[in-house]
Amino acid sequence: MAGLGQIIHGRLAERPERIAVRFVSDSGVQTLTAGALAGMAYDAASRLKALNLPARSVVGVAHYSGPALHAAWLGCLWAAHIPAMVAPPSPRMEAAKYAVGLNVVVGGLGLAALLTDAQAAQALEGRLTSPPPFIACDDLSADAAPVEVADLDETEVAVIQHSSGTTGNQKAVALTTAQVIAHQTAYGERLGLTPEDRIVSWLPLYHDMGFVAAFLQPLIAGIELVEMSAFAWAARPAMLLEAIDAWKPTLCWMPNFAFSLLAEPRVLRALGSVDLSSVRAWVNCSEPVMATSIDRFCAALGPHGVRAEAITVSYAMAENVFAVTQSRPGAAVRLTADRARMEVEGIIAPPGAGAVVELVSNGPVLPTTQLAVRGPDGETLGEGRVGEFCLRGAHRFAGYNGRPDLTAQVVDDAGWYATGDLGFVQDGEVYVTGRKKDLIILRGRNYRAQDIEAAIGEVAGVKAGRVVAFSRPDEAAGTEKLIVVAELEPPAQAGPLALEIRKCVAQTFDTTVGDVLIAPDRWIVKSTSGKLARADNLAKYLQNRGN
Amino acid sequence: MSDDDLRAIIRELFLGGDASIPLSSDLDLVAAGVCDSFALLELAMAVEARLGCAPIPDSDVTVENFAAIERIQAYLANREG
Repeated sequence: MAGLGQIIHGRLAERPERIAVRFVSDSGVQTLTAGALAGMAYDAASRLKALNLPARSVVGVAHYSGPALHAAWLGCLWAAHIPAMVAPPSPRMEAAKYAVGLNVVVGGLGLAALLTDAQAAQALEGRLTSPPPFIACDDLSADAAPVEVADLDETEVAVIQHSSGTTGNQKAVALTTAQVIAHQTAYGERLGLTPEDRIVSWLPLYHDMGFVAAFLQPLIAGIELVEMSAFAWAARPAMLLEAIDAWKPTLCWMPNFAFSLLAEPRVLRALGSVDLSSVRAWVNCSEPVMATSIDRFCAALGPHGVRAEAITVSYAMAENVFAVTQSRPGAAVRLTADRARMEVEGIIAPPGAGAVVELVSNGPVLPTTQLAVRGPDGETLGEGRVGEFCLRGAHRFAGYNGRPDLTAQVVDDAGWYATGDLGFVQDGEVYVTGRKKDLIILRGRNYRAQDIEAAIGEVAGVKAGRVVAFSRPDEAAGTEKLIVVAELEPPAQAGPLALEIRKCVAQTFDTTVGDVLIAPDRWIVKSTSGKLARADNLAKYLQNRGN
Repeated sequence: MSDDDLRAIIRELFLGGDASIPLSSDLDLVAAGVCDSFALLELAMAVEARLGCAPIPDSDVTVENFAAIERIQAYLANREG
């Protein structure tokens, strides 16, 4: 097998005149042919080669979406380097706080160069402790002279993608050509992918869902992508539906919250007579799937051509390239179980007299991946028993880049990767029920509770070490709601302090707190070892808020 | 509609009705983490409902027009004029 760079190069050369990407924005549509993308990538590769970096250097690509982002990443691969997508500064985040995270990425990856646009380069000027050379890629030429595309062995690390998380706290997942291709082959088969398929996406490319499903996949399979920036989509979500009507894509990946959002009256009210029937599979992925979100989406958009059987679900993670499971189009399976027996005993039982829980299946495991459900003592559990998902197979990651210590914490001697996710298998269908880690997933992005607590701990007026963050499912929004409880240090005032905490989270993590409770001295419960007892604090919070 | 009316709507929608949180008229609601940009459409609809006015076009519901009380006032004044 050739290396990933050569595989993609060959794909683009097959039909240079075909449209590779349509970039949709409110000001129009920009098309990029396969030939023009290759030309721009040659240009990026030449600029990188001029730096004479050692072969196989890790190079960051921090661009907003658009032709330059695609070409810069590809140019890096073709110049015999290892590209890693890095989040560009978000308009809402403070540049100084963004730089703190980027400093960790630059140091952790040993970034040899950063391909970025002039605007981002300017925002970062003077903010990095040891800045790598910046290469501006705003003005890549589609007519650049070809460069020799570096080849590499299929077992060498070809790309790095970050595990989901906030910049600076993500892990750098190293993937070989063989792993990327094994994943694409199995995933494409499960989806029934054909050259006539066309993908539509607003997902950012620095997360695994966007990077694999809406960037690598169309490049490797040679199919068209209709792309819009995540910022533009957030400002006007209906633009996705209009783009589907205009360009007739067949596949669309989104986190659960987007299914809820697109069903809201505020999004739909200005929607004309759009036709969404071209989409044969909507893939719900990257955060807990809620039956209510899917039902609302189908009810609201059914008149526009969305079919319930086109809703599919995938359980995915960067450490398995992307998909662990994917339900087959036309077969979304649901299961109703006794809630108490699931939550208390970890056993899936038919509904009894008490409360029930309705779960949506993530589909069967891909044939290239083995999934085991493990109990607290490492024992393998059978069907219908809740435990930790562990996996191995043809596209389990090669390791965390340069951090064998981190890899060893999660991959055992037999090659099983412990995901930290909890769930069960029933009749071959995989259901995710929770997670071991104190992980908060907001709109498909992962945050560690302790990172949020540490950042809020720095806010003046918050008592040191007396902050707790957790989340609750928010059915209406189709995602989780971030809750913060902080003890007040006089003379701070509760109201202004709550606002300062919101500001801190927005500017540090680019996300929004759902509720802040400013608590009196000694409100927060700690365990005997001094650790935060999150479950106890959550129960106390719910009582306080009258739930 | 007064600034206080808008303050009440914002508190009700995003802050659990908490009146102790200070909302100055120039506060950027998105940058301050009161809400995110997705929520501005919700805010615009609440403003419409309160005013009983014609729908505000989605394309007008931008951070520039809706992410602060004074910006909403300026937008509404412009719209009437």
